[in-house]
Amino acid sequence: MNGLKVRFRKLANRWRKPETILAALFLVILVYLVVVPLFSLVQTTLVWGTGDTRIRGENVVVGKFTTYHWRRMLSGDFAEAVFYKPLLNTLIVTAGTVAIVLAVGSLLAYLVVRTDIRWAKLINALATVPYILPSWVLSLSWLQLFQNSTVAMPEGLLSYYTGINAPEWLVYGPIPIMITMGLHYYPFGYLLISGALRSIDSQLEESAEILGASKSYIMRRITMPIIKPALFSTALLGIARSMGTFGTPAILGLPARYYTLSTQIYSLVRTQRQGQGYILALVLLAISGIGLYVNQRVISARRSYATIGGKGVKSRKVRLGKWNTPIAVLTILFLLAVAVFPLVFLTWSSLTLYAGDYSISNLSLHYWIGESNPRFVAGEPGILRNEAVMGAAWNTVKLALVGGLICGFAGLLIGYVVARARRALTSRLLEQVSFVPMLVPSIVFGALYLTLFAVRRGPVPALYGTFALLVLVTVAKQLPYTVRSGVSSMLQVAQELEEAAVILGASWFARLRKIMLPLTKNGFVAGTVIVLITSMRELSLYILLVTPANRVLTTLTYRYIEVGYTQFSNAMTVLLTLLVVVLTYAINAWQKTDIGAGLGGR
Amino acid sequence: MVTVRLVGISKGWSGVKAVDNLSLDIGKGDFVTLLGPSGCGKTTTLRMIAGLEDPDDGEIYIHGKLVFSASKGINVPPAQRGLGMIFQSYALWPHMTVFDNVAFGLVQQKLSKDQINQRVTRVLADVELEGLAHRYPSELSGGQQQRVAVARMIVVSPELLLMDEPLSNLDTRLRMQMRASLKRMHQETNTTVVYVTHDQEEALTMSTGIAVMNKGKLEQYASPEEVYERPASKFVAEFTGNPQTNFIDAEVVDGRLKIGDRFIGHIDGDALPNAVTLSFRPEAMSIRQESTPNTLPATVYATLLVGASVLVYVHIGNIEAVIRAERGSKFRGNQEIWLEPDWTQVNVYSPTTGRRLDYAVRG
Ligand SMILES: Nc1ncnc2c1ncn2[C@@H]1O[C@H](COP(=O)(O)OP(=O)(O)OP(=O)(O)O)[C@@H](O)[C@H]1O
Ligand SMILES: [Mg+2]
Repeated sequence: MNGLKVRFRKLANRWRKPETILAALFLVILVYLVVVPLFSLVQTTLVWGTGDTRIRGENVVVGKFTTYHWRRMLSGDFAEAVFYKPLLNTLIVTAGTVAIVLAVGSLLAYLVVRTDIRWAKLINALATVPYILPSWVLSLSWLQLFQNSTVAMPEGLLSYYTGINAPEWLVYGPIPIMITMGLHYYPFGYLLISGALRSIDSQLEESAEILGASKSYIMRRITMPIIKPALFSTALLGIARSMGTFGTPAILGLPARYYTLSTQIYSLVRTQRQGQGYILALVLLAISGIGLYVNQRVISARRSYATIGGKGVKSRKVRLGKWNTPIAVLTILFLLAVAVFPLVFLTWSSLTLYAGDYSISNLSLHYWIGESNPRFVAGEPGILRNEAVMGAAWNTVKLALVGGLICGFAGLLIGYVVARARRALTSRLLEQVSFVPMLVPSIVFGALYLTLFAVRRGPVPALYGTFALLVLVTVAKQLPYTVRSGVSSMLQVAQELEEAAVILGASWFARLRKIMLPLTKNGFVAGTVIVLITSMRELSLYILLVTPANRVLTTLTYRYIEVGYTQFSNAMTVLLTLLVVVLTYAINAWQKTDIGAGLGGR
Repeated sequence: MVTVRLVGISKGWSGVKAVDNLSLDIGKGDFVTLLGPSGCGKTTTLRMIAGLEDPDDGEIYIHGKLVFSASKGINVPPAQRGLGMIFQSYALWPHMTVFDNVAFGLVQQKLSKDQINQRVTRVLADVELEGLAHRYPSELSGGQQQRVAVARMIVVSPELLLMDEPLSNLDTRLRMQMRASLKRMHQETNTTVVYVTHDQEEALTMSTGIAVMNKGKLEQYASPEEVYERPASKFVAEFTGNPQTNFIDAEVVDGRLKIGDRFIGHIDGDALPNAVTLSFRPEAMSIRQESTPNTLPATVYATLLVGASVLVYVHIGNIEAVIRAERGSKFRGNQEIWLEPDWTQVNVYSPTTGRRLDYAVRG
């Protein structure tokens, strides 16, 4: 009896600590938001779905167990066309994309960090711009530049001004997909690699040099091992992102019937064949999982390198000499071509009344502010006076703000729990689980939430078609970024700062409000801004989840792209880009934070 | 009156005990120092008293009230234990002014603005920081930051103040000044202080009681005089020695001590052991120019001038020892000298256990 009382008291003491309660709470929520969907995904592939009733020759009972989907997806002509071919395409496109990300990212990082290149600040600023642009800006402007009559499209700029018709392989298919995705995703490679390069104390290299090591030996034995983890993380993130990306392969692949796994998932789910589509999602997930495993093996063995230097790092810069200005000019031109020209093309296109005619007389503001005219885009009014577009724009901003704030706050709290009890099992579990979404390809993540919230489950209502579902999926998917910045900023606050307040009788909420939050404000803002940007320009994550009731700018834009309203959708893309840029810079000006700090985790 | 009572508290991490079965009574108004080498569990002990760390075992009473008991499952939160704590890092909140830092505890107690103003101003005057109320911690010197940390805790008038190496970040001169001012504060406010340090000189000069710890265990708990003059173990003698304590092994033959092949002094008591270790501090031996029955031969190998005295490093047989001599004494290297112990200052230890043995020694 007494023993029971003591045990109860001890338990009560433990549970009086807010970090214990929070850890348990977050763990439950995360398990529900991240782990449960995985099960439901697998389950869907093993039962008959509502869309399967039309299938002949099978005894279809909706909800009953069947191996039909797996059989169909693994062998036969259907599997060949819907699974193996897209899988191969995905692997090719992903490999090409990652190669470009690594090459461009490390070259830029090397130039900026290790050489005395001119205008390094400007180059650094320009290099991160593509990250804040919607991923398909490049693909749309690629079309704007190269499309022509050989692919049965209006003329692009190249053809209009030079008469050269680019061949089909340059307009659609793997080559343009790789290039545009690679050029969109290289900034995070640049940030990770330049962070690693900065952490190398050049005294390490100098001492090797003094000991008589050759330049190539130093590169191989000292520089490479130190930046290796960053290269691996870049490759892994590149794989996870580009495999799950929907917009680019849809825009540059579908017109030529070039399918990747992500576009194939989309088309299967849209035609009510979830059971088969989710098998593809599982395949994507498995590839990411293998990537994660390899990355862990490589990085954990090398982790100690990551913190080399740290303080008083002196970096000796390579002199470019007379090549300095030419290299700098070339670099800047390249960055402008990737970051600024596409927007110029899209804007230009949005100002042409008839597609493919770039003469002055064809310029018009119709797609921006024009009244409804049945001769153009089926009578849709210009985007700035179009209710559907404005509603979606408002939804986008609302989603970014609400999702960003919730995600930033949750990241900070999880960071707090993790930092307070680094060794505790719950903290480690929490940290691990919250990182999983980073590796789940966006389109898969959307698919997960579609199955999880399509119907009412216990106390959780059916959320399909609601704004809340978009917020939920945003928070869960972006949590890794804010958890990362939350943990690192909480770790920077010495525990004693909080303990002094404990002794003086401050409640947990008082401590959070008066001490912990003010001291970690920068991390919070950095994390929130990242989520804000990412979710505003996110398409793949939402494409399966939206209905006319909850659509956002990106998904609506894609709908217009699908039906071929080129100038109209280009205008929307420009609008979206402007929104992202304005919101980002407004927050930055207001809070003076470094976006890179949230991205690179340092 | 006992303010803090620790009964058999233990605390470990992954199997290694940082504090091992520690029992300690600290009286009201005492200034008790936890002294010991790095990693011996001083901070852990202090944090367990504060309630920032939960012991695995044992009981803690503060002001007569049971605040922690492993067996009864009692654990009173830090704020309700009626104590203040000053951290080694000071832990000042960098985003608050000096005034807000000091006012924090009073705000938590929901005092009126006027009262807070009044008390903060008075405490800031007490620690001589009047003009700096609106500075931020980063704009203060180390000594000033330390005083803000003190002010922040004494403003709520705790009857028990815990301090974890509060002076270790200061330079020598400032440390001396702050010692005096902490001591003055202790006497004026009559609070009970538990003070952590690994500086034996600080412990000896400031405390009313010293608890010497080693590897999580209490070696000795006594007044500074007793700790210095009658160390309970070789470890305590060694740790409190300045610059060091000399140890010499001796055989016991018929109530006499035999060092090397020379008989010197007597040892009295029942059931004498065959061998003992003698300890004597540098000032417990005088240097003689010739041999007498009460001296040991030694050879000088170095001398060191330290302010008011000279430290003479000698070999006694193959043992190195340090002797404190008067300022102005002159010795050559390899000079033969004789050392005469002051037997009242010599302690006897067991060579095997290292504990002090209760035998009297005399010339
Ligand atoms: N949170 C912790 N987790 C694991 N081990 C700990 C923790 N805190 C302390 N220890 C270990 O407990 C032992 C005692 O630590 P403690 O901080 O009490 O020493 P200390 O006497 O204050 O030393 P110092 O003079 O260096 O401050 C050390 O071995 C330390 O490594
Ligand atoms: Mg300590």
